[in-house]
Amino acid sequence: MKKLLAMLLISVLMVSLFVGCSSNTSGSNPTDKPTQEPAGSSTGNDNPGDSSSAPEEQDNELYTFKMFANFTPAEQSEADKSFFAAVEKANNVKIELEVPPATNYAERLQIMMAGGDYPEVVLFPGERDKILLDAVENGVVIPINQYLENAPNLMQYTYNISWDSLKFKGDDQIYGVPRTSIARADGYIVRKDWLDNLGMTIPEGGAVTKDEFVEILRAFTEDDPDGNGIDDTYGFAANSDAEGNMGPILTWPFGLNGWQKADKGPYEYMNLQFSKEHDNFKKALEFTRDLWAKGYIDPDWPVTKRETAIERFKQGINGVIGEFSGWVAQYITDMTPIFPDVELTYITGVKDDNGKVEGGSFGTGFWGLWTITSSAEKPERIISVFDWMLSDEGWPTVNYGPEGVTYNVEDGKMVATDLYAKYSWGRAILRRNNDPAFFIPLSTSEEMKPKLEKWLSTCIEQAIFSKDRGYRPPAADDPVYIDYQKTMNQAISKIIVGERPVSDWDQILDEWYKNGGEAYIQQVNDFIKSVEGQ
Amino acid sequence: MKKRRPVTAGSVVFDIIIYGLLALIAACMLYPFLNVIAVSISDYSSYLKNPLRILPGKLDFSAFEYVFSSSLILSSYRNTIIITIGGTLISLTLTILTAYPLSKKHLKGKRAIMNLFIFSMLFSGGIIPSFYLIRSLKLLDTLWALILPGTISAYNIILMKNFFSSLPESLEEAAKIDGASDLYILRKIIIPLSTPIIATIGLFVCVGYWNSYFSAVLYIRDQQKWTLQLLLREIIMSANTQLLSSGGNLAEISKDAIPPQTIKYATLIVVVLPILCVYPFLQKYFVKGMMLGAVKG
Repeated sequence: MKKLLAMLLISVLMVSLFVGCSSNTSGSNPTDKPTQEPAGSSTGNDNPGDSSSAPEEQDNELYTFKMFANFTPAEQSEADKSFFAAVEKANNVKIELEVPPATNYAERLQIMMAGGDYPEVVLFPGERDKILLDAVENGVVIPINQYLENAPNLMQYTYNISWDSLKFKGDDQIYGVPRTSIARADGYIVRKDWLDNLGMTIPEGGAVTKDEFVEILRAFTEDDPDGNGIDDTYGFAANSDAEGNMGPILTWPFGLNGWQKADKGPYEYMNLQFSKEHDNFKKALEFTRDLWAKGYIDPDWPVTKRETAIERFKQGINGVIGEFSGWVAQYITDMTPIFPDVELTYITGVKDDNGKVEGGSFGTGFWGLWTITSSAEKPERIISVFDWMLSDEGWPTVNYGPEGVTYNVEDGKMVATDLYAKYSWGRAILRRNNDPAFFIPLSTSEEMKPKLEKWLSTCIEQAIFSKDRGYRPPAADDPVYIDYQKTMNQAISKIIVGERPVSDWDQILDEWYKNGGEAYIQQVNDFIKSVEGQ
Repeated sequence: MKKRRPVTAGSVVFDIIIYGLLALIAACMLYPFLNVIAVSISDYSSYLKNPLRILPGKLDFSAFEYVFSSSLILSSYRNTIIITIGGTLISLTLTILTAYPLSKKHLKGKRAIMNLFIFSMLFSGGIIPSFYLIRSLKLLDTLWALILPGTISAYNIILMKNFFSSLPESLEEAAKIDGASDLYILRKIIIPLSTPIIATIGLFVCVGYWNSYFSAVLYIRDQQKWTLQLLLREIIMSANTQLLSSGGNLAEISKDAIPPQTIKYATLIVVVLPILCVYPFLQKYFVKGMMLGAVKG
């Protein structure tokens, strides 16, 4: 009996030891085990394109593929389930979704890539993502050119510049389907009731000059726009970025539109922020610094995140906020219970010195891309699903959800059902680049619709792309460069709050050039020339 | 009997300052709780009017209705309860069964075994190797992947072992003379005498399991197996996540995807409340256990 007990205790001890070692404080075991599976997984890269030669008759067979994607909110609604059911039915496919937590999407991507067990379709949040570039290099993400030949809708409704930015290896190979967003240069939501109280108006076209813009901010700060007799309002609702840095609140009116052809200086293409020959950035800094000094910008700016800035606008603390025009109706809904007479309007842009509004659109017309991995046996079927989504048949389903679920047609008009508000995953997959109606929800009031359409089309017209196409040169990964970039961002914040003079910018820029900036500019120039030359 | 010190004006002022300070600190601790509770039962416009409120505005329980109508909340609640209860029981059993023999002087190789445990406190395999291990054990996407890796902690074993060593040996000897087996002694004598340390370690482990979220990020694919903390993080951080994932493209920050503050706070209460209720009951053991475990090395 004693021996038996001793054996039992020893075995428990041994099990505990193993479990202890395998836990978060683990030791040696993990490194031995995995060799079998990753080895197998790496061989998955060998013949990604072979399946494209599959016999024609198999094309109509049910094809199942996994889709690794980032959707919010986390919970898939009934409307979204119906959407995927509609896509599966129309394309005779079965889509197995893997939707990791959005807050840890990057980590999950990394683990998935390291694990060697690749889903057929993977969403990458950005084209500069290091994990993506490695995956392309290792052959995990495959080129899709040959399949795009049979995808007329994808080709028609995607910006050319988006395709360009997915040619990672400098040749013609395209490594993903851009999740297109309609390129715009957004303007500002403004408290119209405050403007009315002060006897001010926004010009007919929706754009204002820099002086008019400043005058609005001044009046909102100093002239008691809400008429409560208390000096408790400010002009502009600004927010710091994810790292807590501040930046000029207006850049486009100062000609800062990303990478464009340079009119002078040693480089053919230049982002004027980095130009020693131009003082555009200094002027933009001076402009913002001046507004800050006069108190026209929310004093909480340095510690305000975007979410809080929106709240402070809705609380009636600030009267102007940079925002997408499509959200005006939502702002009104949120603010009406507090301010029953609230009215909002939209400044479509601030004019530059030539009286023109022109803005560098975000990135290259998309936000994330769908890649196909070497695990895909039938990449052509996956591309055809994406192509269907932008076809005349599929697009209304993507845009509004499945008919009969998210909307019904009554008297020739689409009427939203209760489930329409819960439909979001399907809308975050792909979209046509020429259909701004995408951003006007079915539930928008008839009164608001024409205004939204006008603001949206203006913002779309005034958008221009930065010629760097989101390219991340190797110089940007140099630790010295990364370090100095942080120093530079902090210096910009200090200039704005008045801790350093604007004239310091020349010295900061000189240092930036010495700390990798020169190589950065040269490499971006080489890239743009190589793409523009084609 | 001790003599009371005479009450002087100075001591009264001193007491007032001390109590005032303590009240201030207590208020600092309490305020966020009150604010979260008040906002969670107010409507969104009341929150906007005064985000710092400690009294509710217009009463509105729709945030809680929303929270409890979400199937993900219910499933993640269930998962967290399973891993917390299951993990704590397994962990305590293994820790007791490991620490008890190690507390015996006559165990051969005791020092070597202890060193192996201590070694595991200093080095870790890292995320990717741990992921490979869990995958090779076929535990991926199971709740076991969230329970097993955390069951044994070398620190807890040392605490437990020290406590067992501090118990008088004569008790066991007496039992042995009366014919009790080792297992009987453990069950009937050692464990009943060790409730403070068991409660302490139980609390450590329980709170650890309740709060764990990163294992779920790594090892769980099926949303129905998410834990509560993971879901909470997802809800609370959604605004930042959206902003980052949209690359500054304001149109792509879906308004539906960012829950209003009222819903965030209601979720917070739902998540924090159960473990908050457990804490006060175990608190006395917690302090006692810490002291006792540290008596003898």
